Amino acid sequence: MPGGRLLTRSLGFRLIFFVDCILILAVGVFAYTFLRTYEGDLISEAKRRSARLCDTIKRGTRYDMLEFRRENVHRTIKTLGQQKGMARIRIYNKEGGIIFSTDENEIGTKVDMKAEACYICHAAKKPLEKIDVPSTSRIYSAPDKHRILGMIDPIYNEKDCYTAECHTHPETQKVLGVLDVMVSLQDIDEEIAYGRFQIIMFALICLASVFAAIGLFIHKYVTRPVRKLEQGVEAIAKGDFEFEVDATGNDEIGSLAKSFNRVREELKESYEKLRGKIEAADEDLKKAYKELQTKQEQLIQSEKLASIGKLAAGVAHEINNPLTGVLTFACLLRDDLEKDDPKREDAEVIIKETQRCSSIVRNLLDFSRQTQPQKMSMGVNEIAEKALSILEHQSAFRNIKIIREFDPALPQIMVDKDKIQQVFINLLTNAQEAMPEGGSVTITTTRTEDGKDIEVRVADTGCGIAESDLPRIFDPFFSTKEKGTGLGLSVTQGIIASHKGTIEVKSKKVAGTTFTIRLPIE
Amino acid sequence: MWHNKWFFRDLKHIRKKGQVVMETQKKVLVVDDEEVVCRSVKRILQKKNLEVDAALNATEALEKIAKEDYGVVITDLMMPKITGMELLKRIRKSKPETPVIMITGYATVRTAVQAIKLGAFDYIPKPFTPEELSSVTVRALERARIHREEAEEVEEVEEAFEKIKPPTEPAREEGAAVGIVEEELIIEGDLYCMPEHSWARVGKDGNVTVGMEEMFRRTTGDIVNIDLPFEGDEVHQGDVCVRVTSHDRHIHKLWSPVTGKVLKVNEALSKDCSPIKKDPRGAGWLIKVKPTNLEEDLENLIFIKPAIREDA
Repeated sequence: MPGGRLLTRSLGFRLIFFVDCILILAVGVFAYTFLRTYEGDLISEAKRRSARLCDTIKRGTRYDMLEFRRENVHRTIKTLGQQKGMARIRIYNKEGGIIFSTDENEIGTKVDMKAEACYICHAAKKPLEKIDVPSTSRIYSAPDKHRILGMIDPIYNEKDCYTAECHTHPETQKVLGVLDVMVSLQDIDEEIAYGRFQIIMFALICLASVFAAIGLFIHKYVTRPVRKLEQGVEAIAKGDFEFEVDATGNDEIGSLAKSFNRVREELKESYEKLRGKIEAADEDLKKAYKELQTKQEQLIQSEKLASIGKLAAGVAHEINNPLTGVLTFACLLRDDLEKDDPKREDAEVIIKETQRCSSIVRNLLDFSRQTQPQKMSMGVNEIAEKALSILEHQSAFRNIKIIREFDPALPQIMVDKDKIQQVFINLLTNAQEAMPEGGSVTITTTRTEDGKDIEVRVADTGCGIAESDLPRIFDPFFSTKEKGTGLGLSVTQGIIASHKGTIEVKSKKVAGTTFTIRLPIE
Repeated sequence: MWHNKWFFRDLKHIRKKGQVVMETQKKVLVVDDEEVVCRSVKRILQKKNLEVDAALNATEALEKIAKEDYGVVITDLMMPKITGMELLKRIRKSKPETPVIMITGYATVRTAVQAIKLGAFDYIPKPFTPEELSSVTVRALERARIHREEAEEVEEVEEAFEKIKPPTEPAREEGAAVGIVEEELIIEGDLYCMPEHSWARVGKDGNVTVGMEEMFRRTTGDIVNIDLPFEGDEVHQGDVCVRVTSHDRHIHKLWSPVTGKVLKVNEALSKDCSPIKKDPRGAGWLIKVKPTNLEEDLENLIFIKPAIREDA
């Protein structure tokens, strides 16, 4: 039984127990009544037979008695006593002495008037002289366990007797003696026992078949479907909504199974809905977390940029004044020199380098200001091509193979062309600087799988970035190059962020570096 | 007309002091809290035979201006206490005929463009080359000379009005006859300008035609070469959009009044620069731009009421 249920608690057992109790009671009452009636009938019959026998004995011995032929009486009684089922035949005289008996040892002995055979008539002080047939009989158990039916028949004093020649009996004497016939009830007892046995067997078979029938019925129509339902409920409890319960029956359990299946379907539906909602919420949560993370990173980055921007702006402003002096006086010096003066070249270097300083300062200012991009609809491929056209012919790019893997079907997006071009130039210049001995740069443009972004990858085969440097490469003023300002990637990231895009880097020492930029299409 | 009123007010002023202008025409005042900048300006302009006074702050500058008339004042934009912007406002009040050039180390184009709107003649980003400084200064001096000339030439107020009326007005009325290529584009739409510098006309299609104001051309003198951007290039408000070479070999930068992508350039000008002179707001247009930040750009410009409607 599932759940370790006790046998006595099962519905089938209870039903069988209840029905069998009633059945046992009914069969018991029936058997008792039937057996009693049957036994009564048999005993009555035995009594009638005994009475007839008494009569037969009396009549058969009458003439021998009258003629006082004791031997004949003895013989007759003995012969009769040898009948099957005949226990004993006695004749008592008036005083209780046994004058005839089938057991010769008894002859001459006297019985006590209080003995069971005598008691019927001699209960009162004066013995009864006339008694009914039924009350003359008695039943008692013989020492060999068989019951014995005893019948007393008084021998009355008739005219023949006191007129006979022997004149033994006076006329006043009413009862001359008593004939006592004892018949064995063994046959009847056996018959009753057999009947009882039959009835008990019948009752047992009845009970067994009722038990089996109810058991089978309960098992087929109750226990099994209920167990199925139980398994279904357990399956649901475990989260399995696929467990279909057989609902073909048209009884109460069948309709319960139908209800169960309907509830299961509804549960399954709502469970799936709920799960969908939970999954969606989970997805949202993950997305929100990721966004939050990105925002946090951006915030940290923009905090960094803001403070550095302030610093840079201040520095730039201050540095422009001395630069003005340097530039002016270098120009003036140059102009004062003769055209063929070798010092003129030196002055040119000063002027050129001052102007370079100026452009660095300008970049710094541009960077610190983080101006909103001025966006227009452009193709990313075009911008990349333009950046390449600027760089490709420079001597530094002579040893570098440029591989274009442009997706021609990219949609145009709203971008600040100059800034995105700056991004390409920054990344390509970095790539070139990572490959002083030459190598290749692959520029790939694709649309992301979800179609929401344009992905640009710039991959080089250069020296790569040390893992320890990776987290800092977007930090302003972080540079691993001797001549680097440390602003290139910081500016790049700022530009991408202002386009609501993302930039990621993957790098392996020696194997090369790949920058991946994603720009939203809308 | 805004221009007319502006000139008119200046003329009256100039006429009173007519006798001193000749002496001050070559005198320049430079105001910067950085001595090295003052020295640089001094050295550059002295080489151009100009007399240069220097002031290290606005207060000193105002004192000097009160005592003396200068042909040009060159001032830094970022100064402690009184800023360059404040100084500009005060000079515009007291000496409206004096052109003021702004120098800015903090290259905030927006501030510079706003300064022009407030009446600054031009601005130079720091650090500048001698050439950049002298070309602007030369133009400013020319502007001052034009003031004086007009003040002297015009005896009567009525006459002066006629004389300085910008020649664009009649030219525009005869636009069709002169043979403007994109007549409707040029004539229609609201007109905005960076005063005495560049103009922008917003067409009905949302695109902007950009050109040179007449006074800019007059201050450069005859143009021998014009360097236009390419189609597809980007221009930014307050950044160079066109470079012109004048007959005295100075290269002058014209700031773009708007930000956007160049859609078209007036190719005809590369062969013949004369339409700039003849019809600066018409056939002399320079570039047509698809603006990207028009609303904000227009805030820094001055709106000019259409002359035709006013005349009517």
